[in-house]
Amino acid sequence: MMELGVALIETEGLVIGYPSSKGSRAVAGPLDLTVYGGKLICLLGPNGSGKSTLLRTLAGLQPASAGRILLDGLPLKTLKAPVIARKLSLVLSEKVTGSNLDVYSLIALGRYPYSGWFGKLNAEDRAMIVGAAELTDTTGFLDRKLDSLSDGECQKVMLARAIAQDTPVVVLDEPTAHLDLPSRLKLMQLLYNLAHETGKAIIVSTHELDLALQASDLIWLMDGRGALYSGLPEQLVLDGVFEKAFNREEINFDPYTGHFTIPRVLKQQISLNGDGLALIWTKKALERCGYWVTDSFNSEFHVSIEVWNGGLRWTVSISGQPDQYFKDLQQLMDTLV
Amino acid sequence: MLNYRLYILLLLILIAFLADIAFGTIHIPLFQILDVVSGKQIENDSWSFIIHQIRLPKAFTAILAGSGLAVSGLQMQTLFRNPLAGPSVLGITAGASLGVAIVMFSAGTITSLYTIKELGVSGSWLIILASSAGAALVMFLVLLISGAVKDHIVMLIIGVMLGNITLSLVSIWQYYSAPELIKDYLMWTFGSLGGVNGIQLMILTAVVFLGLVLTFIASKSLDALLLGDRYAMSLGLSVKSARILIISSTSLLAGGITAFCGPIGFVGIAVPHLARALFQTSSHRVLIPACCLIGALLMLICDIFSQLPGSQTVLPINVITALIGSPVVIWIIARPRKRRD
Repeated sequence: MMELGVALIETEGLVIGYPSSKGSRAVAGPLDLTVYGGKLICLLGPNGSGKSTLLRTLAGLQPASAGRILLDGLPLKTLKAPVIARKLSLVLSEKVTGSNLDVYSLIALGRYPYSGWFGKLNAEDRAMIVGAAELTDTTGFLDRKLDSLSDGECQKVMLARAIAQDTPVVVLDEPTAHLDLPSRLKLMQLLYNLAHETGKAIIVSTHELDLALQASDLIWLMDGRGALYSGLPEQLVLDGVFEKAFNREEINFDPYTGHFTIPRVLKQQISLNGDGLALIWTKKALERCGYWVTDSFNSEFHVSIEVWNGGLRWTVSISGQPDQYFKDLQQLMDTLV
Repeated sequence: MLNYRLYILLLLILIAFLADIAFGTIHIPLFQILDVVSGKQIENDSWSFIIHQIRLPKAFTAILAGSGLAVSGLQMQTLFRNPLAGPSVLGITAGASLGVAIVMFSAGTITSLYTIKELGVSGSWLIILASSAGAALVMFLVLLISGAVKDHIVMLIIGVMLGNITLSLVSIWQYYSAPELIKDYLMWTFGSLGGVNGIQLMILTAVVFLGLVLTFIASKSLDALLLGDRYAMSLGLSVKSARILIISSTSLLAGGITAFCGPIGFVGIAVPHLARALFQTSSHRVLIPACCLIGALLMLICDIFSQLPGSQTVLPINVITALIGSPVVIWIIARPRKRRD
């Protein structure tokens, strides 16, 4: 048995929900979750499955409908806001606008739970701020105004603020929502490294299934019907819970690749031979246009890829017709479709 | 950097303070004024009386009103996270007017300031209490609505409408009141820094001082609220009690000043922006004193202009603050914003 240490968060029979006119409306539960340090947990689930509600409940921003939460071994309900703020920090998807804040002051707000009456910073605070900026690669724009940052920079700065808050648990609600693909990858990598290097427990909700499968140590998958599956990313794929949570008529989860695919009406069988990247991407193009691509030779309809005059050439053989030759995929697809 | 700006502001305030005392319908030589201000006796008794009983109290009132309104505007802009918030914009001064109107009309005696004088010390407190309560009531309503409405412009319109509703309540009351009372109330609505004398000036000083102390206590909470309620909560701020503190001090400042000086517009919304632009910071530890200084300076300048140097006329202070404040508001709305890429 591996030594896991004390759980930073533990829930027992936790039911999350919204307060409503009839008491409260349960969204998900009962949940028994455990969070250890040094792990990146990705929270996945379709829209409306309760991801944000769960994160807000764990952060103490809204009360649980039932059950209890232990934060660092203590019941969350009994903890005052300043105590929680030293144990758990938060990054939200909502933007902070129009505040005239510069980046340094924003990161400095992370020291709020530690600073005195008037928020004066001491040497230790300033060291934490600089350290947080270095970890998140934001030292370059410490004196810039928050409103002048791009979305990606903005999220990194918000993360720096959470790191400056120096808490064992960091919770992020869809931090990648407004980011382009490279920024999403970088942020996820940053979170992974942070969890493993600093021993923090990082819980992040996201819609990025691919990224989550690659980067997380543990996945919490909410299925939108009140259940939450917790496990290694690969284990959850093997158990088939992704299909259950996400499959609708319009999309399929492909358990072989871990990707979501758009289901297609297959028009015709076609066989394909060739090698390398050309084979892979020709196959993808044909499938996208509705062909069912097989490896075994099909004399009725066959495409082969060869090297020709220093480039590539696609040959289409259809029984009863002369072979046709194409120089690129565009020409091939134009003729076939 | 910070200090030299503070010193320049303090110097400008001193100059404006002296200029404000120097200008008026009766010409008094500058040296005589310096003598009086520095505590010396001068031969001309009527000059001494004018300076001691009229001009000095008026200049002090300008400083108190300018600082208090600017700081209440700063708090509102942070609390509502809305650059267009200010006591006169979101209906807070309208709420204060309702409080004043209730006291004034139901007292049945003559004029605002005369009323205050006739009611004595307890009357002064009564009118401040009513005014602050009216301000707090509207502010609480605005805050409730702002929880549901996130759009700045929509919130602004709601605030203006709340102000209108409040003022129309006052109008209905006016309709059934005696003509002298109406005239006096109308005079009060023009705003005036004059007539706050002796005991009233001391009460106003106490109220503004208390409001400023409460604001200083809230300065750290105000910094956290810049990030919005949820982030502020996650930083360990008790948002509910911070709001109560901020609403109390804002209502006290805006309500107290409105009670004595009438509803003075535009200082509350314009000065915080000037302070942010001048000191390039979002820290309330710096912005609160900055707003006090700039607010005091602006109000003194407005008061100087209201005398129309060289003429016998004194314009209502409200006209001048609107003339100076409105361009600032236009600048806030129309300035090109840096967009994210």
